[in-house]
Amino acid sequence: MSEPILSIRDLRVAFPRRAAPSVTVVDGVAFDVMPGEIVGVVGESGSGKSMTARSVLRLLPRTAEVQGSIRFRGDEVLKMSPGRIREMRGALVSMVFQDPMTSFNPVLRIGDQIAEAIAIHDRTGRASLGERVARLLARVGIADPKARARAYPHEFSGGMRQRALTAMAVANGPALLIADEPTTALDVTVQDQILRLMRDLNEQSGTAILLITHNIAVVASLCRRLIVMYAGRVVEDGPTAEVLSAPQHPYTWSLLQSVPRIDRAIGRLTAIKGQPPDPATPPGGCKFHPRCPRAERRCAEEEPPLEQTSASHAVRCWLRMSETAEAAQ
Amino acid sequence: MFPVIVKLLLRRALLAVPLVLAVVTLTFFFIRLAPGDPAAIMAGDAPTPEFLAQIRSEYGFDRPVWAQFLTFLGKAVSGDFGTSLYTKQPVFSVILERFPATVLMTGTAMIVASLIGILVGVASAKRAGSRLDTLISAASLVGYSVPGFWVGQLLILLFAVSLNWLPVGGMEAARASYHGWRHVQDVAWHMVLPVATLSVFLLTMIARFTRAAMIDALDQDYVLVAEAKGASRTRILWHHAFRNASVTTITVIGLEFGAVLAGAVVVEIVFSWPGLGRLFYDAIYRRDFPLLTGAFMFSSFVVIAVNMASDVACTLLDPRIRR
Amino acid sequence: MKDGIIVKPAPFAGRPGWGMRLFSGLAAARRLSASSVLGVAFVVIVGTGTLFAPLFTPFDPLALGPDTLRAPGWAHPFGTDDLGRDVLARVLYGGRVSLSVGLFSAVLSVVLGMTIGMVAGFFGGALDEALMRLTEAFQILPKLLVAVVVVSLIGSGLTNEILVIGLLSWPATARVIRGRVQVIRHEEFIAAAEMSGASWLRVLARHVTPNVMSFLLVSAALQVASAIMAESFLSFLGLGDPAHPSWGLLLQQGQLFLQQAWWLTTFPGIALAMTILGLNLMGDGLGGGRAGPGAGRR
Repeated sequence: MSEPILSIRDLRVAFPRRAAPSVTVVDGVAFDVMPGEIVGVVGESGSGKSMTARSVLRLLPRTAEVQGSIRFRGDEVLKMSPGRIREMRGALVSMVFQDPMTSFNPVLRIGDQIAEAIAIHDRTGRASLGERVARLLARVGIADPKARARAYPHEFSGGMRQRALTAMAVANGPALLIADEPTTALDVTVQDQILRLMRDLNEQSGTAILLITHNIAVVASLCRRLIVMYAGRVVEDGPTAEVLSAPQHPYTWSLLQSVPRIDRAIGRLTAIKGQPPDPATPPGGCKFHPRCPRAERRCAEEEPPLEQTSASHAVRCWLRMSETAEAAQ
Repeated sequence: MFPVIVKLLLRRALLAVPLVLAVVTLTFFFIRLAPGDPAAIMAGDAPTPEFLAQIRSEYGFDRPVWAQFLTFLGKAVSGDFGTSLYTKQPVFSVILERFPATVLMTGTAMIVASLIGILVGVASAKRAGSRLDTLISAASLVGYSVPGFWVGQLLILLFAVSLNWLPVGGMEAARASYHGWRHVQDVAWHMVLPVATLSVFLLTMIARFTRAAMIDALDQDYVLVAEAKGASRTRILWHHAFRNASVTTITVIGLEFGAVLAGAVVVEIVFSWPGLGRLFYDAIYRRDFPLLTGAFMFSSFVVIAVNMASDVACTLLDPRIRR
Repeated sequence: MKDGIIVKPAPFAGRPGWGMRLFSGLAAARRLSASSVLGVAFVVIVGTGTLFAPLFTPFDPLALGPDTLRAPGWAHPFGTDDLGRDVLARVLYGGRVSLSVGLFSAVLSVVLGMTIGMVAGFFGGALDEALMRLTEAFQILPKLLVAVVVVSLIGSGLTNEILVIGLLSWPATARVIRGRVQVIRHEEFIAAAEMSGASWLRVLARHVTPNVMSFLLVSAALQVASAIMAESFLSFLGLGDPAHPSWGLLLQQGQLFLQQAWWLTTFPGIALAMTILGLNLMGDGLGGGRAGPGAGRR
């Protein structure tokens, strides 16, 4: 067993406000990613998952206050000099963002933008840039790559753009790829292609992937491990198969209840009642208790810690759902 | 790349034709607007009867209006703007003689205004919301509210009259006659204050609009993506953000050129700069209407041409505009 | 757009009167910045000075005097010009001319611009297209140069100046109003009014107009500033009304004696700059900065 490639401990991200206490959007998040592993982070919008992802490369808004520890291959990211961070970005750790429509600069050619990703980290070999770009585009399944590289973003379809973005992200062979909602803005068939692409990248190059999404179906097919976040905290962390088949946190269980399934008949879909808490005014005790179908008094008073229930599975709940009782539903 | 530019230019040129026609039509309309006999207007004060008759037949004022218009149009398009009443020379050649001085001064002012305006705009966008930014915005507002000719006069009072650092006016030293490099230096020295005056207004407009466009651009996703690639702040600012904002900058320059030209008129008066603007002024108080209308048409054509150029530049800068 | 989706209704949809709308428009600028207060101060100072000119100076602006080209001093706080006329008097009374020409031209261009803008924005379609072409054509022309030519030809005189400036400046207002009308066109209460059978004229007058008021005010302030600038431009070129000297004319006269008598250009210029700046600050303040340059000009 090797060392984790990414190790987050006690990460807190807060935004200061005028004449009011800061708003904490990430509150004590901790998890690891092993080399070559594909980890999924699932949660509703506002759960802090995007901010967590962006913290890894310190891509947070200027006003954000960050505390805690993020170690990449043992080095503390939050203490790195700006120069070292820039060296890391796009080379050792890459990020793919949600909206392919706006992720490319509209006035520059696709090929030039991908070449930029390479050239920033590799001053030599200017001549071969065109070749390398074409190869990257071919690798992500874009036909006629040499001609396509000269195109502008608005001439690409949404799916092609997301592929090109992925190509740009892996251009320098990163050890870790962070994908923030990579499929949300795409239609279903294209989603599938992109996910397949990511799996291929992982298998061929051993690139670890941290996949952020609010769509459970996406993680089910791709991720070996699943992390569930709610209100800025990790509430469940375990192998995907286990988490999906026998969720231990009521929130995870509720999420699964609200997903349509082909494999078995469900009486009715149940949406989780209520809204995620406003980060400015979080509820006391367990953050999920106002919406929890099984909340007890203890849940309102005291916040549960994240505890291992087995070697690979952790949960933040006072009443872990027993496998037998709820899984049957 | 080259054929694309040519095609664009031709397309824009075609669009410019109706504008040119409109300008000529308007000028004709203005002449007709004037009270009294249009022939007398074009013939000036106290013309001899023969001259009056000559004007009348040359412009066709004795024929129906539409025929007059066609005559006028024909003359305008062929470069015959009539004859200056004062200098007795063809208006067109008088204009061409004075035009280079205006181009020199106005062109330089535009370059100076663009360079400084862009730098200021980008700098204040980068520090949006800071004290410096607020200060710059306030200064911009002042710069654009103060009439250009007064700024010129103030600059003369300060730098030429009291400090005696720079010449009071003119394009070259009156009594000396320099050649070669010395001449260039002399003209440059005389150009400092007029260019400074003329660039103020355009500078503030460019700074303000560039700032807004930059703030907008810096807010976009592709900036975040570029950061995630490891690009330096400088590269992001110029290669990514400004490249997008430049379309706005060029557009502003094109839109405001008319005002810049008007500003050039008064600046040339204040500094006795021997250009087209000065010609306007002379034509006004000498009641030299052929010269006035000719200079007006010429200036309008230049404005249209500059607008066209800025349109083409925008199309080249932003591939989404091309079709 | 409107298809069954409830759009948040605009404030005061329908009922309160014009006065209320005006007030709320102004009150919205309750975040009155220091700069707009300064702007108001400038305008008030200049306005008071010109309006109550006789209180501030005993001299007649046109009266010739023996004391020519005297520097500012006790008798003549702003000095005298080459014909012995008191400069303070000429600045104050000249302000009346500059301000009234500015005001009346602005009224003309705002009314014209508002009408065209509302029609274009409200009806859309071919009418909008046509009006926009017209607006663009007007905007491409170098407004000040056109004014110069026209006024030269038809004769200088306050009425002519007002007409020419007003008729050339409407595009700026038209654009702003059209934009605003396009936005509120799709608001709930407009649809409601139309469905209740109101004629378009009524809808425009009773519902659309009050909701563009705040934009109109901003545009008006900027138009006045722009008109005063235009008037001074014309006067500086000698196209002003010689019987009613304005600031621009004073600056033209000052140009001749620039090296000898700095007070001839400095004081009228300060008045002019203060007025235009004040109006722009007000317009900017009211508009929350979204007006900006270019909104009132051209």
